[in-house]
Amino acid sequence: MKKKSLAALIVVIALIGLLTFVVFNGLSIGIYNFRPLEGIQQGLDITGGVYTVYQAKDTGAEEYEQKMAGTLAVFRTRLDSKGFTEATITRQGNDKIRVEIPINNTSQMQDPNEISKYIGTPAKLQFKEPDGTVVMEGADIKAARAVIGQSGSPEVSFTLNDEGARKFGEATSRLVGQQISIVLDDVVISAPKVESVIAGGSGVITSTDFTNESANELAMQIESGALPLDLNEIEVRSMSATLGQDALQNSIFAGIIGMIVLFGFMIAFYRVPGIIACVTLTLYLDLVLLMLGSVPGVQLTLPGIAGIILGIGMAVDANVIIYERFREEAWAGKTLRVAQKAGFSKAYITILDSNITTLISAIVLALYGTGTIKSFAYTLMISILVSLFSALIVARSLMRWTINQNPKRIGFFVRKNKGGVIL
Amino acid sequence: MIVSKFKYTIWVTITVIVLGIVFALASGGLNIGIDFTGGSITTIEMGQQFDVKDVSNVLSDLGIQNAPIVKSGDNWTQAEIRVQVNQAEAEAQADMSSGILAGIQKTYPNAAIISQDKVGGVASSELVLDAFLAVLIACALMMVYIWIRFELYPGVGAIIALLHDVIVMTAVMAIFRVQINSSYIAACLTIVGYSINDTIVLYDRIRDNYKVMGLKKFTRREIANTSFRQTLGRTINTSLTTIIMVTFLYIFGVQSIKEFAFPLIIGLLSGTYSSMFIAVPISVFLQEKNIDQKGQKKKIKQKAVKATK
Repeated sequence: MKKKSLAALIVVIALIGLLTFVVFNGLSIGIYNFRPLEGIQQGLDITGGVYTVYQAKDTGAEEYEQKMAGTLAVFRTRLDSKGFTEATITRQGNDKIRVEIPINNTSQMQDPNEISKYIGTPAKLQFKEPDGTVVMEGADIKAARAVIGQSGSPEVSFTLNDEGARKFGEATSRLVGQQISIVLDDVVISAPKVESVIAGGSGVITSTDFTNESANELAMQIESGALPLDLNEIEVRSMSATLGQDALQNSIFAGIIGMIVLFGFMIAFYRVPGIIACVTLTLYLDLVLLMLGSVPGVQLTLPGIAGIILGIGMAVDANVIIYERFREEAWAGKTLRVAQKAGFSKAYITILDSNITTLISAIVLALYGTGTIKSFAYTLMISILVSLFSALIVARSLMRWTINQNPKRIGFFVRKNKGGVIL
Repeated sequence: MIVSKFKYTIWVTITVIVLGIVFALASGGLNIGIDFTGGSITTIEMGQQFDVKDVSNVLSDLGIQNAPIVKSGDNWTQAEIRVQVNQAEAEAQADMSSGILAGIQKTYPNAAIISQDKVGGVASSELVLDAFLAVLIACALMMVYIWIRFELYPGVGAIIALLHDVIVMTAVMAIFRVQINSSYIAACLTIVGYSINDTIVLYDRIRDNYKVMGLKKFTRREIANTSFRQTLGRTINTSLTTIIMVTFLYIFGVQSIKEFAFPLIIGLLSGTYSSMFIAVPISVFLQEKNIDQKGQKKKIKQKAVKATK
């Protein structure tokens, strides 16, 4: 049993060491490059950037849902056209849109105010001849909608006002067989071929690429030209990249110093179990970082970092509960093996109860919080789950194997009970 | 001890809260951030030492009044300009910051905006509502959980302890004039989630001791005291380790981290205190009043019934 335990102990600790190395250093085998830390998505407050929350003025508008979808699509197009492909656009509740735009040195626009102004103002929609001459503009279009054409595939049909009908009729009569491009904010969104003269003030755009969604989106964009919904800008926050990077560096530094002090404290106070706690804490940190890098939608923000650091404190908590119980049992005169078993099984319930209550509040936070608070809640949830695993499963086995090495050396595991158990 | 000394320990809480109210009244209310009031905070890095007067001159030239300017940053080279705006002014706000920057750059050519927060009135009132709702729902759910796992009265005690923590945190924010903003809300919610841990550990021990010691041999107070002593080492150690981590975060963190870490430290201290000196006594009082006395009355009644027979 002793040898088996020793082997298991060495293997597990070596694995944790290897994992730590891989997480912090990355690993490349052949063509595979595994860099977990780089997979972690950084939030705006770290990368620098701007986020804006818009609110629709009139939620009672006709076809509100469709207009909302159209607005989101217009935002996307506008941001992409300026190279902000990493920007995220999310709908918040019924009437709000949250736009997050990371800004870095290579961005076309640097001024956050300018960016939020740009995406929030009406777009410029134009129909252009192949040589670039503008045929007509968004104002000439009365309505556009996605329909299913005679061939059974989605198309976009549109109707024009009188002015538009005249201009379009004239242009299409000249350009049969050629393409008219539809340009939104200087980006070509569709370039249908003119198949016949369109003089009646209505026409159809067909494309083999159309799906129901993309046809609908295009119809929205054509019809709106401007944003389908009137929006108020209700919240803008921006942060420069240097400030975010400083914050990240400082927080990491604080985390490292805190961990060192914590390790010292645990070892001084709990001896061998303290060392085991340090090993499991390292594993905890590895796993949290791995999960942050791989769970989709989780961003690392400054409150998120605080969540991880708080999580370290909570992971220690589980260890402390276990070792205090273990010590009590040992002081009561039980052998180390029995004390270990009894300590864990009693601490188990306590740890589960206390972590579930925290998990409840983290879930509520994730549901009701927005932005950085949400990211904090996610990191807290990940922290709780990982800490449960590392304390209840890994620490338990490590303890058992260590005790098996020398079950008689009580002094390694618990201090002498000088004052007796205070009762 | 923890139960019978409640009439003394509660004074710690009362003192902090009264101090908070006095400070808040003395300085004209809480220092409430733009997250709640609406408005904007623009932080400008000057790139050198600067005179606040130069900045306020630029502001008054632009017709901006009542805009406090605070020096911040590692070397005090940053200016934080806080402007209260309402929805109608929000539009003009966008152009304002570039105007301010241009004005400042005349004196300090290296000046650059490093961060800007702008919150409209609508967003701010919703933030408050959401936060309030989140605390309420979290408390209700946790209470139900404790009710299921333990009993109703410990649940009530635990929730009162949580509210105690939030109130104490707010009072301390008032004493130190720390800004109440969304970081503070996040800190409160964190404490609501974390402080319950200590309480549960104590309750767990009490539940355990009901079996080990027995309610017939010992009173609820005696069992509570024993459990308190048994878990004291654990409670102090875990609070200490968490406080170590957060304190380093406070020492080394940038402003926005400090804003989060400070209320957390207060909340951690308050949470440890309240689980021992608020949650358990209240839970015991309620149990004594509603379970034990009723039980005794029942017994007395039964005896009386027997006697008449």
